[in-house]
Parts: sequence; structure tokens; C-alpha cells
Amino acid sequence: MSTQWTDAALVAAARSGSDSAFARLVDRHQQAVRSFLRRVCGHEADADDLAQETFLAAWTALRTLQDPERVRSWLFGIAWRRAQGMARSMSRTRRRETDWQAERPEHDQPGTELNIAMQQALAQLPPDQRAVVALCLAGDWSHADAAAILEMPLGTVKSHVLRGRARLVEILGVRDDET
Amino acid sequence: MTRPDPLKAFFEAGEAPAADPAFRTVLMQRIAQRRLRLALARAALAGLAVFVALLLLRPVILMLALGLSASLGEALLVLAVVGLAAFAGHYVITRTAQLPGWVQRLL
Repeated sequence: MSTQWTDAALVAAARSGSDSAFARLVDRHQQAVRSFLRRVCGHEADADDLAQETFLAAWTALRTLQDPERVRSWLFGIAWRRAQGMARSMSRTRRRETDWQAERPEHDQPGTELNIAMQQALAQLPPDQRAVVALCLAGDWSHADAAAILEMPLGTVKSHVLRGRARLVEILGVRDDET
Repeated sequence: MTRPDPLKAFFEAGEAPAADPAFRTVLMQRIAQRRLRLALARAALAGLAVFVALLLLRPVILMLALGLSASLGEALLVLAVVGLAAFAGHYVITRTAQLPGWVQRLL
């Protein structure tokens, strides 16, 4: 399959039963979805389990996707809703599908100082604010897109971005000219 | 010139890998398992529906089976006679030996 296929074409192919098309969608979006979930959850294994659940739910509900060009924001919406229900589902998902994580390459394991510092800083933010920061500051989503994905008012998103950024800068002790 | 975002390096350190074949493989296995479960559930539902339908129609089916048995005997007799006639006709038409004289006189 060509690498030039658009998301819409891949969604159409996956809807008609192509597993390779869906696998390509996974390859294309897994990094963004997993990075978002890692920042929101603060625990990489849990976040990756949630990412698996997110893509599984997406496969099941692929026919309900109304705008296939916006598959990434749709995936983020699913991921966010899953993350919100994480507390009640983690006890179940932790027991499942963890063997593959042992096969991951070394560079994917948590441990860099910057990563640990950021995870600890993010953990001090409220969940909604953490999600907004993960989308708008780390993921370069627009405020409007973040508001749509997280189903929050635009003003709340803007407020979370400003306050979250200021808080992170304060916790991490970095010099920030924007504040 | 804009200054680099001081938080950027922190965020980049937490990025998931750009390519992760293990993640994709496990996910596709789980999709295959879910597809199989769905197919089995559909087949089980269909089987259950047929079973229930047969159970509900049992009196009608029994009545039909009992009613059919008498007329089925007559039908079998007709089929046997027609079959024998066809077999005999086929033998006569495709025969390689001469028929007895009295049979030839009849024909």
C-alpha cells in the first residue's frame, strides 16, 4: 500500500475489511496518541494499555466516524474518554497484555531525567489541565481543536493552557520569557 | 528570532517511539481475536434462533411429518414405477443383443 494514502482513504479501506489499512492508521497515529496518554496518565505501561484499548475501540466504531479526514482528533477523543475512566479500568487492564512491553527497545523505557521531571510536574496538575497542556503545549493542537477533543469550552482551554504552562515552568524551574 | 520553548525538551523526552512493531502486532492480534469472538457470537445467536424457531414450530412440523407419511408412500410407488419404466425403456433402446422373437412381435 502506498505511503501517500490519506487518512480518509485508509479509513475507507479499513471499513471495507482491510486489516493492513487499519495497521497503517495505527502506525501513523500511535506515537501521538501514546504520547498524549503518557502525559495524561503519568504511567507509561498504563498509557500504552489505554492506547491499545483506544485503537481497539476505534476499530469497533470505525463506521461511526463521520469525518475520516479528522481521524486523529477522533482517536484523541476516544483516548481522552478512556483516560477519564482509567481509575476504574486500570485494575483490569494492568493484568492484561503486558508481555509485549518487555520486548520494547531500550530507548523506549522511562528513565531520562527530563522525562521523569516532566512526568512529576504534570502529575501536580489537575487532570483536565494536564490534558490541555498535553494537547496544546506538547502536541501543538490548536485551542479550538483541543476544546473539541476534550469537550470543554474554548475559554476553559485557554485558561488551562496559561495556568498549566505557568505551573510547569515554576515546578521545573526553567526560565520562560513568555510569562 | 523567537527563542526556543524551554518546555520543549521536557516534552520531547516523553514522546512515544515513532515506530513500534510490537505495539501494532499485539493490537492486530487483539483485533483478530475480537473479530473471531464476534463471528462466534453471531453464529451462536443464529443457531439459537434456529433452535428456538424449531422448538416453537415443533407441533406444526410433527403434524406435517405424520400427514406426509401416507401420501409419501403413494409418491414413492409412482416414482418406482416410473423409474422401472425408464430403466426398461433405456435398456430396449440401447440394447446390443437381439430381443426374443415374441417381444419383437409385441414391439
